[in-house]
Amino acid sequence: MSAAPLAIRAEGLWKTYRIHPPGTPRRLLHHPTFEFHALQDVNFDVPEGAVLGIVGHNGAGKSTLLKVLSRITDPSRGQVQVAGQVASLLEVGTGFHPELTGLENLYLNAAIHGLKRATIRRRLDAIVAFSEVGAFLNEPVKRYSSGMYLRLAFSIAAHLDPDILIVDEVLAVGDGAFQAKCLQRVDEMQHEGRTIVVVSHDMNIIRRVCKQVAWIDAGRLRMLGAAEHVIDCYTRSRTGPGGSWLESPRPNDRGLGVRLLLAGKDQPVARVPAWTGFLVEFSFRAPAGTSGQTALKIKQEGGLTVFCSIDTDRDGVALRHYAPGEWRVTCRIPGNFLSPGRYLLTIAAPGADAEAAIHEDVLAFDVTHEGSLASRDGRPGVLAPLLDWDHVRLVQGNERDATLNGGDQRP
Amino acid sequence: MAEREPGSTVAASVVASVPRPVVVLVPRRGWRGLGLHELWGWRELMWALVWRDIRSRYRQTALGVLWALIRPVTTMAIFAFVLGRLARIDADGHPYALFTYAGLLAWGFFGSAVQAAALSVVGASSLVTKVYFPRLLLPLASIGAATVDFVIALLVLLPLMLHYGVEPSWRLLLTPLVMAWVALASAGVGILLAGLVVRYRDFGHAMSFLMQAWMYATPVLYPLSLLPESLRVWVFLNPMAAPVELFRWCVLGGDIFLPGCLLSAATMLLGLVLGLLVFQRVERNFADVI
Repeated sequence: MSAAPLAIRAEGLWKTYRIHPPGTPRRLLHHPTFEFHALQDVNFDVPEGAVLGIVGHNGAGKSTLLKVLSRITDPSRGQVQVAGQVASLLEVGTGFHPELTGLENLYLNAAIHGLKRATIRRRLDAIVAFSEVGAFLNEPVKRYSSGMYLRLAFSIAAHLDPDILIVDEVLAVGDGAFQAKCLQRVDEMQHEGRTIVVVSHDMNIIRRVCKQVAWIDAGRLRMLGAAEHVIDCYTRSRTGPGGSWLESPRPNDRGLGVRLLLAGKDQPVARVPAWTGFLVEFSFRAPAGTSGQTALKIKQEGGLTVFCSIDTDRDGVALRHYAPGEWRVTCRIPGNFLSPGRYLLTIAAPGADAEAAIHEDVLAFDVTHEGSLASRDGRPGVLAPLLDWDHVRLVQGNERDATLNGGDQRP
Repeated sequence: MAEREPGSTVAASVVASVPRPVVVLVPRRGWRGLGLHELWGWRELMWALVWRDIRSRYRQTALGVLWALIRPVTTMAIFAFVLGRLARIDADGHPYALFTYAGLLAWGFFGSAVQAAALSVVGASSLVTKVYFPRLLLPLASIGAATVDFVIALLVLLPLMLHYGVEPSWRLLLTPLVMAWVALASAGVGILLAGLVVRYRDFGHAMSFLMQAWMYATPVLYPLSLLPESLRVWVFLNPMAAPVELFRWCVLGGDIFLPGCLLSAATMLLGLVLGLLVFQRVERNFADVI
């Protein structure tokens, strides 16, 4: 960072929470607590006009960092210097009141982000045009569809024009077309020289908008550098040699393990040949009262969801109850289905009272070219499934010609 | 740069090229200023919040803003019947209904302003955890919204006075001053409670019956003359005693007890300072404990 002026400088940032351990009695004034360091000695600079991406697991401290940067909460130690006006978008539609109309909410929401009324009035047309909800501006937002609600909220956000914009996971709103528009708006803001800090689990978005990426791991800044490199290290970090036992984010969490297995073998794998197929095995300990669905989602490394599958797809049991004990649930992914490439697995496991615990991107695996249809002819596509084709001759060649001619002569 | 005041603004960038105001965020400890200058910069948000409260309060009601009249008028009617007719309280010779309506107006403003202010921060938890703005705006805006209801209820006062043959005098022009007094008194209590409720919701539960007890300790439903002479000074330790008396004086005339009013003003200011001090002390970790 030679002479580029800085927009943000964080120095020795710590954030400590006092956590009440579960299971201990809560007294009136004296709670037994332990300290939890959500951020530990985080240092970084963001030059003016840069777009910094922040990646990390759930609970790694990304959101806490954004809250400190946007002044919502004080750091416990260290300091941040912020040069210029900051707008933070940690949620879409913060402060929307369901009884108020779209237009009323527009003014209110902009005021919450520190915009003057005169400024809003000047940008009103642009905001309304961007949102595509013009016809419903005088309807209360409680009657909006969720898509309209998100579009209106994001449109306001897109026109705040702060020096520094802090965004948490909200770029991926709306349908594909609107999403593209949002990302384009981010590009524009960047060209205008605004500084943007963005948190996302979607590596596609991070790759698309950021040159620099910071990886936060367990409250520490694990890596800061060129986007491609950090994203690569980050996605790789989540895969052990073919399987990983998840760290429980909370004490008392049920143990949950996920492995990829080839049929008939007990050794976990990280690479599967395209033609064989494999098993996703969940093993967990079910305390009393465990119920719900087991599900998996397979994403491309870039973030595109390839498919999801739920254990109730076949039998239609809505709510499966698990007797206390150790359980193993497996799902068979067929061969000749996924194209060669790197994939991320997200899982949901049953929990107490049907509350599913979702674990994003628990492991990465490669589908190799070995025996794959795609590598035979280089066909494009997310999937390269081996499908059934049927060829049936319906009529003989000569007869068919005659019929066609006959048809043409009709008036 | 390490020792700079938190939230302070200086006109230089970290590395100065385009000078932008630099804000330094550090842990806040001990007693701090109130940031009134910053608060002023955010005044538009306060109006927006006041306006949101008013707009949304009577949405999807058939009677709409009439509710701001119905509540104080029915309360007055009940007390006029029970205390004026049945218990025959002597309101220093004034018509009891008018006497008590004036008291209830001033008290009602205080009561609803305190109630709204106390719950304003916890009620806006989604805002508090998602976006920065001076938190003091929340209780202040609730008091602003309560003012509107008060002004509407005030409209009934004139017809009521004419009905009972009380001639409006120049003193009525002083009601805005009394109103400001009530607003400041409710700000002190409301801001104090708003800060405390975030950590201990107990204060929210205690508030409703505390306010009721407080109303009976204030000369709202009875004249001061009903109390023994020795008690009268003590009544004015209550920051609401003087404005209720003064408001009634604006409407009905009569004597005012000046030393009592000064005492009451002093406790009101004390409450305001205490409320602001406590609030700025606890607001720094609102987002973490709310």
